[in-house]
Amino acid sequence: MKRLLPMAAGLVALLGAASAYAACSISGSGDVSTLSNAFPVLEAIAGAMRECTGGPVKVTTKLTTENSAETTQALKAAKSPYGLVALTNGTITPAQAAGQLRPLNDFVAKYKAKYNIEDGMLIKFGNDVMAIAFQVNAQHLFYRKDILDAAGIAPPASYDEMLAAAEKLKATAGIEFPISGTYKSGWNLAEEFVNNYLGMGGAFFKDGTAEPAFNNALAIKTLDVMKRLVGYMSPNALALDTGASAQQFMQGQVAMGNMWASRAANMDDPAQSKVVGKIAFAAAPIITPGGKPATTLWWDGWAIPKNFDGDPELAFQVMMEGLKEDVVRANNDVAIWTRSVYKPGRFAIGTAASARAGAPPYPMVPQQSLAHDAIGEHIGAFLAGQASAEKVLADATASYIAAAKAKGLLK
Amino acid sequence: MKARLSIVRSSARSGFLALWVLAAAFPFAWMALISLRTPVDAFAQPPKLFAPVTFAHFYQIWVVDGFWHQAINSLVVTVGTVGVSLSIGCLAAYALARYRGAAGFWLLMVALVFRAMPHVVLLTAYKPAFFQLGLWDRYETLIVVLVAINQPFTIWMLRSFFVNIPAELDEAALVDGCTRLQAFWRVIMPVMWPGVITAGLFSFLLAYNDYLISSQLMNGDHMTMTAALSNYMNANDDAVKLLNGIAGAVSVCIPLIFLILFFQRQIVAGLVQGAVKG
Amino acid sequence: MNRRSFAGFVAPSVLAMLLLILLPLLGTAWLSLHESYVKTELAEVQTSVPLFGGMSRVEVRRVPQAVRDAAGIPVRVWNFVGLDNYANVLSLDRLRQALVTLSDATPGWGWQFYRDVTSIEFWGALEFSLLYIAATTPCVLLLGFAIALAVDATSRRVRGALIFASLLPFIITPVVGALSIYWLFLDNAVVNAALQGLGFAKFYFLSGAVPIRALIVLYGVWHATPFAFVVLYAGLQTLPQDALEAALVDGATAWQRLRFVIVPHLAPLFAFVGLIHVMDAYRVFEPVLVFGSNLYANSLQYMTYRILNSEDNYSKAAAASLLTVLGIVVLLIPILRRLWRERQAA
Repeated sequence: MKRLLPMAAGLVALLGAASAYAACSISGSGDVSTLSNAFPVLEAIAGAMRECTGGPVKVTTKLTTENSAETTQALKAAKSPYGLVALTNGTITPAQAAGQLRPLNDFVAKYKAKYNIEDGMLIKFGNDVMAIAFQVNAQHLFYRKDILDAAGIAPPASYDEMLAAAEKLKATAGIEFPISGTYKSGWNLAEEFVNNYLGMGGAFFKDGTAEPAFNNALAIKTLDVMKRLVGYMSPNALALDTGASAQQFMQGQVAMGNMWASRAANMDDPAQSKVVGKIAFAAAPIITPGGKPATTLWWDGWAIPKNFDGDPELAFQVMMEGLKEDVVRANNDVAIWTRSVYKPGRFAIGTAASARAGAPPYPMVPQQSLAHDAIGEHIGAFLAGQASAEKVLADATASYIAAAKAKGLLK
Repeated sequence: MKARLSIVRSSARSGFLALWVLAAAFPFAWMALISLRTPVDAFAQPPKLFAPVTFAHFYQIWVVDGFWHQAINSLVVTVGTVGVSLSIGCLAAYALARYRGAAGFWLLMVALVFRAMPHVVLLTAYKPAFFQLGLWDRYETLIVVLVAINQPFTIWMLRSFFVNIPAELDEAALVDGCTRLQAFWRVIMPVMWPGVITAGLFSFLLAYNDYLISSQLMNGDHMTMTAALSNYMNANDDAVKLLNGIAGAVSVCIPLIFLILFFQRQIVAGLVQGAVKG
Repeated sequence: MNRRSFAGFVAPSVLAMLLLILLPLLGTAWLSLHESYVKTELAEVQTSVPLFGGMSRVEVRRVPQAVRDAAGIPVRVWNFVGLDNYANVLSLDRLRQALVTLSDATPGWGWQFYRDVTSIEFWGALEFSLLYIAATTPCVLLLGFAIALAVDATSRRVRGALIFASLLPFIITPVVGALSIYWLFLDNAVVNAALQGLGFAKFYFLSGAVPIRALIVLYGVWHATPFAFVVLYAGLQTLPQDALEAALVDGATAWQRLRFVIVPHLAPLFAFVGLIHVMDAYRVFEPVLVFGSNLYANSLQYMTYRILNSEDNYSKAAAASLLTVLGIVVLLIPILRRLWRERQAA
């Protein structure tokens, strides 16, 4: 009996999902292959896209967490095997700068009425629509309401308050390491730095150029705050992958931390989490008095490669079938959708609050991803106590300059 | 050889072996155990010894996600790789065992260096080349690549087996009027089977377990099991998906376990006969 | 065997290796001497980005955009840069800086020099790759030998099960194997729970360079020992009984039998397993990927993989690849010389 129940549930989910959407109604023939990351909202969209397979149309979806490297290669090749690629703020800029994406203005105009394509979904560079965004994501504060209430602490609005709360929890509530964070050395750690440094009011490049400007007093202050936070995290923090740090929340080991909004729904899933209903969400803390929440807003969307050798109009239709209003309604809580039919629930509180308070979008210039990588490679050494802040910032700047020169962005 | 053993030595040895078996088998056993649990139990901190059992992950990955597609792909690629690898490997290894010239020696040295080549080095060239040539995401491409990468090890191993077969055997066949190829096929190969099985098993292991090359050269429906697993294993955002991947990983190891169970005597015998004496 | 037959027999194998190993290697070498990118120029571009609930933000800025030719196709630049990519990977300028610090001879200079050099990606990767080889090889050989001796001394009934269990770490897909060990050592996972159960304090296995490196070496030994075991065990089956009996008659102890009969007989096998292991250890990748934090432990193959995938710079990855190959060739030279001398003697 115990065995049959999950199987039955799986079947019901399968059938249920199938009947939740209106049938796919597109015209055209050919193969469309999609490439994207592999988190829940993309799974839902991919499912809806696959419904379009039938007759002369075949849709195959590839979801992998290694998608960004593969996307870059597909866009560079003579012909792309993928008709639709999923992109974010960080990954669209190099592709757009290299002219690898097909502008979608004509298709948007043609199918605007059929799919109710809203303006808030369009990613425009100049007058060209380069991508259609379906969700917004950001890191914001997750905290254990029950623990904070029991200790008489208000949800922290700034990092200073967060550090004070952590100290109090350590002393009174006996939680050894109250803070969690996605601090794994590499891309994740750099993302934390980007969020905090922008929250400090810092800028990465000299205005209007690709010359680096992130080796300065503000950056050192940012690193110092991060180091103090690490003091309240598990000693393994710099090596824990993102899943392991989410597990710390779901297994009830930590009290506060900045997590991606897309993780919020999992916290209330009894199959995954021990703390169902106990986690509350708020805007990301501010890092400097009078500053904006120290986080960046991301969007995820789809684009069509210029070198796709199939039918781009078919690909566009498949894309819109995956993003139609039925799909949003059926998967309302899985993501923070850009469509207006989305009903924000409690999982959207943190992102909404951060956006309203003026958190910036992740910088959409192609050299940002190079700086991101360079920073991720080096600042871990400071947080691990292996090098000084000045040295790691100098090393990161040098790595960035070498990478930017190799890309022709710097002379 | 088994002289009187003191109780102390015997129990020390048993203790040592017990510790080793625990260390060797425990990680896999633990993974198999948690693949039968929901995420909140599987990753429970502190870990739970007993928890409700569920087959949902196996069902999800095999039936819903269609992992059996990938299983067929693995079968095709592995059988193809082993078949081609052994065929051309046996030919080359036999020649290397019988030929006395310097070319043979240099070929073996070059093969040794090739075997040491990190796969990522080759990938740097494969991926863009195959994309451009339209050879990406095809069974034949992956099989040929795996065969080529496996050749150095295969010919080294098979050669040492052939060296141990007395040259008089094929000399006799040649005197009787056979060509080299006939001598090879009719006289030498029948004696070589244990060695071929051993080399075949190592070949199988390499093709079956390959991750780096398979994941980069194949796509979606054509992926082998091991390559497809990376999608699940990397999705550490989603604990359910991760566990589906673990269920897949456990499934992937089961054929290997059966192979070892049935062929372990042959493996040892093959090693004894060939590489060991050589 | 005459030359023609030889050529005929080895042709398919050699062709496969030439096409798919030598040719890509040459291609990589050629790639490493060039650089390639899309030509860009700064342009004023107004971007529009959705925020939340129908809000959107418009930003105007100067952004690099592709330079296009007459047909509207982005222009791609392709330059010969000689050894620049190699200098980039080796970070020669940072190396020079580190040497300058060395010559300053301030207190603690040795440690500072070590820190400076290993913080450069390539040298840190080389350092750990060599450390990994040096740490795992003796352990693999000794442990494999100990297990082979122990299994050989047990009754035949149990042997099958022992061999089976011992081969498990070897047959599990490396990525899966590394993950399975990683999970055991997390904060409150099995190993820590066991430690606490036995009365020890919690230990954070991923908290620094030393524990993580030890864990990676542990994985390496765990994964490679079965191969050493099975080869040495097979070797033990071929021990010449008469030599052993002669030793017994002469009154040799077990230890003396080990030292003077068994080990010399198995010497070629130790060499064989050692060689295979060194070549495999040099290529260490999966544990670095999984235990993740090339902050504490980096390997040459992982570094190349990172440059290829994250930095998206084929030329630099090609240079890193060739430097890796150079390293293994240097490591193999003594062995090649030995084999050459053996052949000359024969």
